[in-house]
Amino acid sequence: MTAATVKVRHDEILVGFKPIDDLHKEFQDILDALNDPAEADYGQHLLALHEHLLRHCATEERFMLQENYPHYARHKRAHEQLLESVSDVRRQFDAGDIAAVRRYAAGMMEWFAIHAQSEDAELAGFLKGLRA
Amino acid sequence: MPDAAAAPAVGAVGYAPIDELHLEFEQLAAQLAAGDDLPATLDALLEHIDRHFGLEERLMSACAFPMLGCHAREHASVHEVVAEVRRRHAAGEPEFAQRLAEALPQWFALHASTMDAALAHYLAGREDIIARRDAAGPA
Repeated sequence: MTAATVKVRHDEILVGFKPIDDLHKEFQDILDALNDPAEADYGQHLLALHEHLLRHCATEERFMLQENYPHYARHKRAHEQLLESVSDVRRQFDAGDIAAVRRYAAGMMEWFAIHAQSEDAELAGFLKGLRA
Repeated sequence: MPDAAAAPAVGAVGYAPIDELHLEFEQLAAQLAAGDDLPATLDALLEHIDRHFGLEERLMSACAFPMLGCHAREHASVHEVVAEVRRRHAAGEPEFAQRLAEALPQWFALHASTMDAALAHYLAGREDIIARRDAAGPA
């Protein structure tokens, strides 16, 4: 890593809204397993990541629709790109490209931190405002 | 490692993580033009653009930047060209590296002032959220 990356601390993916933060912690555990060099079973971890992200995105999108969140379309677009990228990397894995999986796993935490601090932080602020 | 105090000559867009990468890109493009140790420079350039384009594409995707598709496609063609030049250089065809050294700064000046500037402008509208999270510090 060089200085030219967005720095990631683990607490940076927490947004202060419990149902979303629970999903974010679960995501972190799965990604840690995928990034662990001792863990060779990439297929299993990628499947777990894919299943998790489908549920994770759907849960957030349900909150947005229930509460008429004004940035639903934009936030959903980011989710669609995320889910597409997981499908892509699973196809690459099936084709035997392990290096692609390692690159993907290494960059994923950075993607997630950016998303958590922009889209999810804004959504959490909106949902907390409703409950205040 | 780029000097933190230095700024990119033509590629500054006003978003620090991208500007650091742009400075690094310009330094590698200059190294390519100088023609010293071309195999090592081409390796470094390819490693750099993986990181550079990777970060920009993650930023675009995570923040739902609408023009991700065309921006990423342009990255992919440049990546393909640099990889091919490196392959041909290794195969004993050095003229392609020279041509790349001439074309790369021209491509970059246009790309940075259009596609990257648009991305930086979009992120500037979102960065207040990121800055607020940073100010809040660890939970």
